[in-house]
Amino acid sequence: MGRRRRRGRAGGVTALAALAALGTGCGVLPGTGSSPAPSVSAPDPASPAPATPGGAGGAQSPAAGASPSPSGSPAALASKTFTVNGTYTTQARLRMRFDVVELRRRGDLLDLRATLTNTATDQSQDLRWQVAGRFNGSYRKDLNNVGGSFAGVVLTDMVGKKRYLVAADSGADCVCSANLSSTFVAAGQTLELDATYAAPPATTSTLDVTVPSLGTFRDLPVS
Amino acid sequence: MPAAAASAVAALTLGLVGVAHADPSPAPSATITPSPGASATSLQGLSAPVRDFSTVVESIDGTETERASRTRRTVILDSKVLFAEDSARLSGSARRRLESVARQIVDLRATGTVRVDGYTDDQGSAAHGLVLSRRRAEAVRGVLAPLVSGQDVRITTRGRGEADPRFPNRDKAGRAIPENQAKNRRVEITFTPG
Repeated sequence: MGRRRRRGRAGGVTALAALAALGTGCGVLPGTGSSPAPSVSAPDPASPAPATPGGAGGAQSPAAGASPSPSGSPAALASKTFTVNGTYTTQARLRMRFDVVELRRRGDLLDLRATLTNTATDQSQDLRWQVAGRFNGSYRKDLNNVGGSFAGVVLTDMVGKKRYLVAADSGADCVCSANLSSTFVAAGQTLELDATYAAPPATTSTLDVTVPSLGTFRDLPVS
Repeated sequence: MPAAAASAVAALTLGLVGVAHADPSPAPSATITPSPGASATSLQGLSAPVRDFSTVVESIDGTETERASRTRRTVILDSKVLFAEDSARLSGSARRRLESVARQIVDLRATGTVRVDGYTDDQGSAAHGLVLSRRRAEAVRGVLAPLVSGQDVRITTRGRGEADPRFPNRDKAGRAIPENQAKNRRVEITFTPG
């Protein structure tokens, strides 16, 4: 698996880090052993734009009823920062930011997109965080790939009194970001996360998004 | 892999551009995707065959779950909203619940067989569970049949007893898990949208 850049907007330091990573071959950073490393990807026409300022395509501007954080991405519907221990430099406390980017209808389905950003800027230490089972949740333990996945995120329609659980494919895998057990978010990096659900009725204009260990983002607009 | 090599070259080029311009953007912009293959959104715009996704929607109180794919829809109703404990007599709220299921069968123009499967938890004898779950399935058919009579479907019933629990009835030490047992006491109504 090659390390690919999604966007060419990196600062010099990040770019150098990417170059260093390229030099090690298959994207394996020191300390990751042989586990598959997350890919830093190039622009992919089949994927929606990532959640960088101005890059969120048709995402609606933050709703008045949402809870945008001043430190959140301007394109996000809602943001929350939380603190974790670095995976390898365990005495380091890392500030991670979780942004809900969009809830977008796609026919009978609805896609949730979110990002997880490691806000650390100190490049002199190994300030990676391993996402692991943080977002597994407990709702879809029936699926095969739930360990280290985004499958635990549920959407609630408080008006329709329904709870939407992540969809599965015919192989009983969640239709969501997986392989998070072997995914590390390095200082300054942003991890894209997504999950697919049944679309709520057309009359539903907002949903609550509940993320394991982060709580509930209320009344986010559906686009 | 040529694709990977090409991407690496692209990454190198973009990386160098980043250095040369020393973009002062404060936003961290290195973006990683954990599993491009599993990403639903990455399927957009591709002409590959659409995988048959199954979705799950629950009522907020958890007593009703709908599993749906293109070819099959299953409504799972907790026994407690349909029946008194250890009984196949329908409760007052049962009719309203089953009317809602019948409406789906009609609205989605179901064809073929509507399957009604009763299930119990692992309490009591297996034989008792089989009989109770079959009687419950038949009681449900009794309500559904006249409501979907205009539809070209036939309704079959089965008592599955304690087979196929949705969640483990007991923990590893053999202690009952009451909330799981409650979810295993259920009736599943499965049909094929037309």
